[in-house]
Amino acid sequence: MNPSPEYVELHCHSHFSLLDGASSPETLIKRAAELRMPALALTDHDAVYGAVRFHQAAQKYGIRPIFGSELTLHDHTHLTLLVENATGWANLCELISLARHNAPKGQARLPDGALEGHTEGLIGLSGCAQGGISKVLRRGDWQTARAVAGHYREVFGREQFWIELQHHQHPGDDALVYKLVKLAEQIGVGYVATQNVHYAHREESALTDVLTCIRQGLKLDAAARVLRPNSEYYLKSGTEMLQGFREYPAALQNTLRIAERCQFIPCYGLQELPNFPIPAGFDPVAYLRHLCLEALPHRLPQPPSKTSAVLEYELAVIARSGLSNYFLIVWDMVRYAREQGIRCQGRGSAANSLVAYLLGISPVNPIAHDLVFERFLSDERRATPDIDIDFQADRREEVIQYVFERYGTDHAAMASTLVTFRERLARREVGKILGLPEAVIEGKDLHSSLPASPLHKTYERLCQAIQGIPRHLGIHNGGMILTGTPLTSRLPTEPATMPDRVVVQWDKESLEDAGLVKIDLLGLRMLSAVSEAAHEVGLTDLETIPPDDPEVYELIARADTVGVFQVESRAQAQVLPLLQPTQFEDLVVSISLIRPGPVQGNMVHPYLRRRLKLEPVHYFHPLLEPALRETLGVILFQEQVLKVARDLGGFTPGQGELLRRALGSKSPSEAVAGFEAAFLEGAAKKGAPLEVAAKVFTALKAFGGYSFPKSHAAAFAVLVYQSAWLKRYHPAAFYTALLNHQPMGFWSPAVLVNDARRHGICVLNVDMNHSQGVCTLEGDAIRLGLGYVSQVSERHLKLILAARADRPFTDLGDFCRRVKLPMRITENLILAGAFDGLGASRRDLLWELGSPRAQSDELAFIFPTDPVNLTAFSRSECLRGEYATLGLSTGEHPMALYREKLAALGILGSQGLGQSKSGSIARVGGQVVMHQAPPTAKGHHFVTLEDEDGMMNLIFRPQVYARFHEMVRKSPLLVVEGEVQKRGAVVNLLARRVWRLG
Amino acid sequence: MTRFFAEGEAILMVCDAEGVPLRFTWRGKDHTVQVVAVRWQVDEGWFQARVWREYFKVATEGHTLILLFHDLLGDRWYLQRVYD
Ligand SMILES: [Zn+2]
Ligand SMILES: [Zn+2]
Repeated sequence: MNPSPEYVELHCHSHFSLLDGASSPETLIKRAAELRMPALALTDHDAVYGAVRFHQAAQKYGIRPIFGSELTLHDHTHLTLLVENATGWANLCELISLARHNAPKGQARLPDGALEGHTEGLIGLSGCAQGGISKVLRRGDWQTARAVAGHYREVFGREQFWIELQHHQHPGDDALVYKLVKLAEQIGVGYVATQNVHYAHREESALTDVLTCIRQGLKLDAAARVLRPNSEYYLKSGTEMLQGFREYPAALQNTLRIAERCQFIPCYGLQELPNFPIPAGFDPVAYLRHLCLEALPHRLPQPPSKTSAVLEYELAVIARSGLSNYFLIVWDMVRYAREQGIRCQGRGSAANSLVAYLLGISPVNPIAHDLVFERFLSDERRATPDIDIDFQADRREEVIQYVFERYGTDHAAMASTLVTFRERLARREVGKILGLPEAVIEGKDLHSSLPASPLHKTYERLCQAIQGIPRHLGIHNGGMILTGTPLTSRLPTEPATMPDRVVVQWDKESLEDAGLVKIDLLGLRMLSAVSEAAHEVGLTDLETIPPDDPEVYELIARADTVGVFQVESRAQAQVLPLLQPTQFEDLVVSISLIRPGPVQGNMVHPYLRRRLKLEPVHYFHPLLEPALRETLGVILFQEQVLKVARDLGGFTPGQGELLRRALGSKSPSEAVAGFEAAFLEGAAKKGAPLEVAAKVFTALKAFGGYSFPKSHAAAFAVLVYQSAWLKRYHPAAFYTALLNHQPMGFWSPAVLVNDARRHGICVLNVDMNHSQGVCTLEGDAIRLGLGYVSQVSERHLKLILAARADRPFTDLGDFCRRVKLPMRITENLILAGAFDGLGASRRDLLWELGSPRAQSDELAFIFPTDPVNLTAFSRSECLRGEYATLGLSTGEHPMALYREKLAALGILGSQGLGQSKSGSIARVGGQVVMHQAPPTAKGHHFVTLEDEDGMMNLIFRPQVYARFHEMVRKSPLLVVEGEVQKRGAVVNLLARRVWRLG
Repeated sequence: MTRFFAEGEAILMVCDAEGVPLRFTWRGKDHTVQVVAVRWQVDEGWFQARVWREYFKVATEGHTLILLFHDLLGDRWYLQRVYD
């Protein structure tokens, strides 16, 4: 038998040909490796979304990647383009961008004539059955086919243009291939075979049919005319290809000749950034230094003695890494935001840098907090450091707009994200095209005969197979790309859904892996709230508040932290009274403790016991003392993983980083397996006993990847302190601001309002004549805004406030005549109590709303008031209406209605529970305000009850929860019996019985 | 006149190494394939009942034009059409 002819696939679609290709780049590469192809091209439709992943997979399997795309032209015909060199890549990016911007989102069409002048470095293949030549040739129009081919030959050049032959075992394929070969010979260009691959294996052809139907909005059984008639579009070996091209051996040989010419790999670096404009007489290095020195007296009025040494060292490393320009660009964004009064602060490892602090990028002085610059940047590890900046969420868009204006839309774009099929979406869309009934798709119809049917098996199989396949392109939340040369010569761009916004064709991971610098401009609601509260109390600069106010720490230490950034959760409230924070470092520890890593790694309680001196500080091994001293021997911060790996396992920083990533991966046990032996071996070399090393490695595994780096926690701790300070000294302004920037944080607005009232702040209900759109301060009291009433929109508010500007509303009729709102909106306003100030009861008002008087444009006297005398709503009816329309009540707490009855039965409230003895059995009553079952809690459920005086923590063991889950989930008010557990000031009730209340 | 068998008539087939028909027996009579005019594949309907076939339009030595198909799922051969 003849040896298999050599063959390289030059026309191959991955699932990044959205809703067309079915296989991932990795699967295709893997299959190519099995077929012993030396190279493989990726030619997704009008896109290079998968290029970086394709490249990485190719490297892994030792296959040469060829980059390209199948471009859609002005007349909807297709053309296959392959990249020979850097010029070709730039041209490809340009062409894809032109085509994308010339069509609605998600489509592409190259403008007529745009190909000319953009073909250098590109090899053009004449395309699939939809190619300009095949299309006319199939009709038998030889003349036009010749003209089109001749045109391409001129545009690309004789050596650069090839007639593409495809054979998919369709009836007309033999004839078409024959004609194409004749045409190539006539016009004097080469011909080459391709397979127009849409999936790696034949079995995946069903999946492409599913994707096609989703794309076209058709049911499978009605889609015959758009589905491919057979399953031949898979990646084939040379031998399999031979069947279609036995008479044209050159067609297969030419694939290798073309592959040999395509040697380009995209890679980028810092040099891609725009040059920040610098005043005359400076270069970026000098200007950065100048800015730091200029900021020094203001940012560090009393600089520690080593400041200038640290600064010079950092500046030198930054200069050597070529990062000065990058810092200037980031500094400029922060500077702009500050000038506009937009609060912002850097997060992540930038907080290790004094330069970042001086420039106002990071809020933490690294010298004062023992943060180490090398964790941000070092000569050893010259990767571009990540600088992520949080901006106040409501004004982040202004900063993004500024960046677009500063660098121009030719040089700035947002990163994209590929939205993939997840379980729910997969079930819905696949179910729809299979024509399954709604009930089956929603999983409600479990008792039908379907589960056993073959159709149902197909459904399940397809739902599985489609998961992870990208569906459409979205915009990344805040990731910006900047380039000095026009972006489109580096990467294709395309329009996003948001008008005038442009995204690049790579997502965050691809950009990072290819070395393109991304700057994350994130939105943080707490910054908006803090900004609003500070503004309200006349503070322009929160940085000037006293840094170590004992009263602020006391507030945090007694877990009076509802509303405070990062330390308000139930879990934090359990830790803070034991931790008793008294300084900034304690806040850093506190927010780092309650992370999945330390919680799963069982670090929390050992840390607390050691801190309370209930047990001695103990190290797994003396070698780990330097790494773990500051955290009393436990692993708390992300970077400690690296240190432990280094000091005990003998890992290099690079290995440590790989281990850290493996620990954070989706299937850590698999990813980590390879590191364990190396770690144990390294530890043995350092003389550590095997069982100790094994124990440490187990601890690392349990710790996992979900923990904060210390620098990140430090940056967040600044906001913890600021928000706690505001709560301590300006609580009314603070709560008002929190209410205006929901949703955020751990607790609902209802809890925030009750917490405010427990702090002696009067919260006034919505009032038609007194409320603004948002919540406001009215003297010392908080007035709820009309915008809090459900379904009241921005437009409704405008109408109300405009009418009220003329004169206050006198009664409901007056309101209805002057503000034309839909009936249900006015009804909501009544139920919320917004008209209480006008004298009538809510029930009367609802009655009146239904009467013609309120609905008429005529003058009031025409319709006399109906003489009805309805009983007013009871207190609990009012409450129900308020919760339904406001989500909260400013009246008495619902539990107050039951207080007397409960007291008579010996059922305690939060105060009584606080006074109970540890170990005693108590019954408590309250309103459910939080219900959590974190994955780290192994089946335990945590429920928080609230009453007039405070909150109560309940713990449900799995068996107890199983018994009472119906009631716990469905009843808003509960009575619970359990064992009181006290630890210092922390009180929990270990539940054993539950009753419904009310 | 064309004779058409919707389900196909089972035949006994002898192929070459690459699956191309050489001789077949239909209703007890032997036919030798002189030339394969055209061959193609279909693979469709997988979501109801998959049909995966390779079709061959052949001329026999008796100068009859015949449409055959190879059922690739069951690896059986059928005659579907005789063009007279
Ligand atoms: Zn095509
Ligand atoms: Zn294609």
